[in-house]
Amino acid sequence: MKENRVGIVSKIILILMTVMFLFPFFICILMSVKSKQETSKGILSLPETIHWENFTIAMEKAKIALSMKNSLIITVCCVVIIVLVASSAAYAIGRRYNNGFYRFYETLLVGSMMLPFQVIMVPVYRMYKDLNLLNTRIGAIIMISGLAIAYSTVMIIGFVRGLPLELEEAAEIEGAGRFRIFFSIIFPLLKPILATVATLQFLGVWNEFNVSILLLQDEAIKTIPMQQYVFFGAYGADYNTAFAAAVIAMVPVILIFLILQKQVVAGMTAGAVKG
Amino acid sequence: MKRKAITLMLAGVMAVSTVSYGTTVWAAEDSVKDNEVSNAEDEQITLEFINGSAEEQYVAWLDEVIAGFEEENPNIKIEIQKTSIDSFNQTVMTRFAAGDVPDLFSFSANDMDDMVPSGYVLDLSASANMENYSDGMLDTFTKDGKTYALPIANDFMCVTYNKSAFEAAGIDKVPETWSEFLDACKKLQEADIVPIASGFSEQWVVNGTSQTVYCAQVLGNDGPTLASMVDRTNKFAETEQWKGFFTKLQDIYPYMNTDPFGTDQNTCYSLLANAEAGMILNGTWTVTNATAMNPEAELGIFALPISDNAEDNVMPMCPPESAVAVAAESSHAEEAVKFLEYMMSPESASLYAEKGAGIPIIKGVDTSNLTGAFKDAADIMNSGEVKVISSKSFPSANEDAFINDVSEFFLDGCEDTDAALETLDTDFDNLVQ
Amino acid sequence: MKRLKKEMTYFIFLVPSLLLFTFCVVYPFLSGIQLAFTDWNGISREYQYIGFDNFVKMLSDKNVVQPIKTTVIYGVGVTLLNNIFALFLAVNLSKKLKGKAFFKTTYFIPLAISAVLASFVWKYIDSNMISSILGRSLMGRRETVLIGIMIISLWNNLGSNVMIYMAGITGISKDYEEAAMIDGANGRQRFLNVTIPMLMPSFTICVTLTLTSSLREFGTVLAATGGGPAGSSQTVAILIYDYMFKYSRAGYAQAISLVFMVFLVVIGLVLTKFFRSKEIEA
Repeated sequence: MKENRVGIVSKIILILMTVMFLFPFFICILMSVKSKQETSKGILSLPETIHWENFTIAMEKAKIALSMKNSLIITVCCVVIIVLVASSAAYAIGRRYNNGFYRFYETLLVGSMMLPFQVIMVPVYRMYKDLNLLNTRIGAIIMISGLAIAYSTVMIIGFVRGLPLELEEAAEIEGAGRFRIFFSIIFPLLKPILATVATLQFLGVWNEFNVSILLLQDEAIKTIPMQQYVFFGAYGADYNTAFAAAVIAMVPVILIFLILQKQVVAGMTAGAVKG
Repeated sequence: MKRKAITLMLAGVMAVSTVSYGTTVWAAEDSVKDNEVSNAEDEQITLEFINGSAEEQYVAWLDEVIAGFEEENPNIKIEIQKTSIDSFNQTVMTRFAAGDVPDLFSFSANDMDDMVPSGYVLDLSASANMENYSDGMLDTFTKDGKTYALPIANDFMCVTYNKSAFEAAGIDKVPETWSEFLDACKKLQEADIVPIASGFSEQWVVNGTSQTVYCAQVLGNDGPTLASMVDRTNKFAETEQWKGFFTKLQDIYPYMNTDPFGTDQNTCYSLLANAEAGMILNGTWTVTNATAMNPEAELGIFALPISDNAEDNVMPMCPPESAVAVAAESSHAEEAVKFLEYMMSPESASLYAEKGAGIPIIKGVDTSNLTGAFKDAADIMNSGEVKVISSKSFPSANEDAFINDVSEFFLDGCEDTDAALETLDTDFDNLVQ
Repeated sequence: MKRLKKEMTYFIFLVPSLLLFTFCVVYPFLSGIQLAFTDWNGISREYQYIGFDNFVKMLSDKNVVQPIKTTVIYGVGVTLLNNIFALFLAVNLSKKLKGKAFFKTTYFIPLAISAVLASFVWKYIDSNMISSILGRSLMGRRETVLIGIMIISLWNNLGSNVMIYMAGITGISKDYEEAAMIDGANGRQRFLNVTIPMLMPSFTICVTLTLTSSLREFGTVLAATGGGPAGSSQTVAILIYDYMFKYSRAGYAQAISLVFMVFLVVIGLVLTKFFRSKEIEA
């Protein structure tokens, strides 16, 4: 259909935006293979040789292998928890939207997203110290997930409300329990938004900084974002190795993203067909 | 009806459980690590050191010092906690507030007001290391006769210049008066070299340049102490030296790079290192950072000559403002002090100089293998041709207000010095608690 | 009885969320509230209760006014730009387009970069390229610094709204579109009368969340300018941080946080209610 094609003006804007979006990556990669001296020659200057040593220095200084392992463990666990907890809560709230208590809880969730982290920093630290959860991965996983569920839940509620009731009602008549209904019917239908939630949370948790720096002080369990500061001193910074570290840190995220993206597309097309 | 009852009940349960949980845990006394009664000689002890200085050379030096100490003391291990500058305060403050104190930590002059009255910092006056410091060098960290932290190095706030750039501009001797200084700036400009490179997009740079100017123009020039400006005993608008401060800024502004507030200091270090800029007005750490940009650079330092009388232009030097301290509540205070003393020994200080981490101020340091600008600095320090001045830093809130007002002055083109002085006075008045 | 059982089963779905949320958010928050009524300096273990002093001081504190203005300008600006561009991208990326996958990846990947690194790259581009093109850098001038920071935020965050809008668009049944076309509606009319209303759940999320998170924006601003030059980009979040960790006035900072939070909550709730009321329930 003619209507479904992208107009020429829109195409131009798309291309301009693409350039703007990709340019910083180009700079990132360029900086990571230059030396300090070459960098001072100019932003677009090309290096004479590829300075791979930036990467080796970065890996060592920032203990990248170890941090990446930690980041992966924490991120995967958080995403799983968030998806499960948020979708079940969103289901309850979405289906019981007329109920005062559930609305109140939604309000609480929305309200909590306005919380600046500084407000709860000290209470969280004290609480974790008393419970001996400091410097533990599980402690960080709980706190990071806990702070992320509000956003995710609110996102899913809207979609739950848009799901037709007939399927559930039919299943109820057939005598299926609530849990069956949720896992066999609702959960699959939520795939598009859950894929979105999973992807966004993966990125969010991967780059999470506030909680990590507070609760993960042991070198052995530090995550990637905490290592980026290793290169910035008080009076000067080593940009080239910093960007090399950033490039290394980006790779798994981009890979995961590309994989999940396929799911997102598949989920969305399935949804469209069901219409 | 039933639904409403359930709703209320559930809400009530949640509220009550939250409050009761809250009261119990909050009421729990802060559990500070119990001081262990005694440590057997061969018991494995780990000391935690929160380090706020991430400079490459400093870290390299610290690692070597630790390795050396651990070799001599096999039962003690030192664990370094690296934090970024931004989150250093956050980390340290949260931990002390929660009663989970480290053993050693980076300590700055600002911390004296917060941490010492709270009893967090160990009194080090009994340590033998006290002998290693010249008179007055420990002043910033001493209160009521007790010393709370030991520094390794000191910096000068001065001009760092590129010798080749000066040569190229035809400047044959280091300026010794203000007119000669401005003259040098002019020559550099005519030779297409940026006379003064300033990376004001970073707040600390505005502070650094300001300090370089006021250390010489105010503190080293019979001006009032900063403390008296803070408690309002003296006003900016009524002090000759502060008026001079702003006129000096007016003088040098035209010789700075275009768009200083859009330039970062790394770029300035590169410019200086590649002789594309002539000078940077900031602390001696400029030498370390610029050299990293170009190891071939020939750099030197000189005191900013604010007076037209050459004899008055002596390098101002204030006591060091960053050091390392031991937590009073540490359960291994004895071992922590032992390490600190090792870290601040003349041998460690020599290593510090070797690594190019800065200018050590420990007495008895062998500075003979320093080169270039660091050698100049060490020579000045050792020769005693310095003017000892009081602390060069304002308390945090005042410092930020000061930086903001000076920035405004620059951004408005350095036009109205009277207005700038007035604004400073108003802002400082507002900050009196 | 059956009703109670049904209620209970729905409630059970809520329990994991309740537990996690109470533990991680509600309890720390309630413990933290009392600090706003003290003169705590952020580090000592003792402090005095001073009643509402902090709140009274806030009303006459000149240092609070400018950050509020800055925050509002920034928040509204980012929200408008972000959502307009995100919607534009989502709509166009849902149509037939060559190289769609490439475009999609381009706009999503910046999400993978942390705020600190995003700020550093853009600051670098700003001082080295934009300054050569425009004559002066964006973030070096008080008048344009917010624009510079907005660009960083847009680059870093646009992708997530695009994703949500796209998920929303795919959720719109083709039947509605076809019915409208049969009725003779053109592209623009279909967009306004079918797409937009059906996207309401997405607006609820995207607009509300973009606004409240941009008003709270902290990491990006801190890394980009730290509040400078001369305080021109100091947002309320940065102000709170400064008071809490630099000026040793944690009690006061907490008080400001609470008032700030109340404003954000009100804005968030008003927007959520507005959009939810326009949502079409299936």
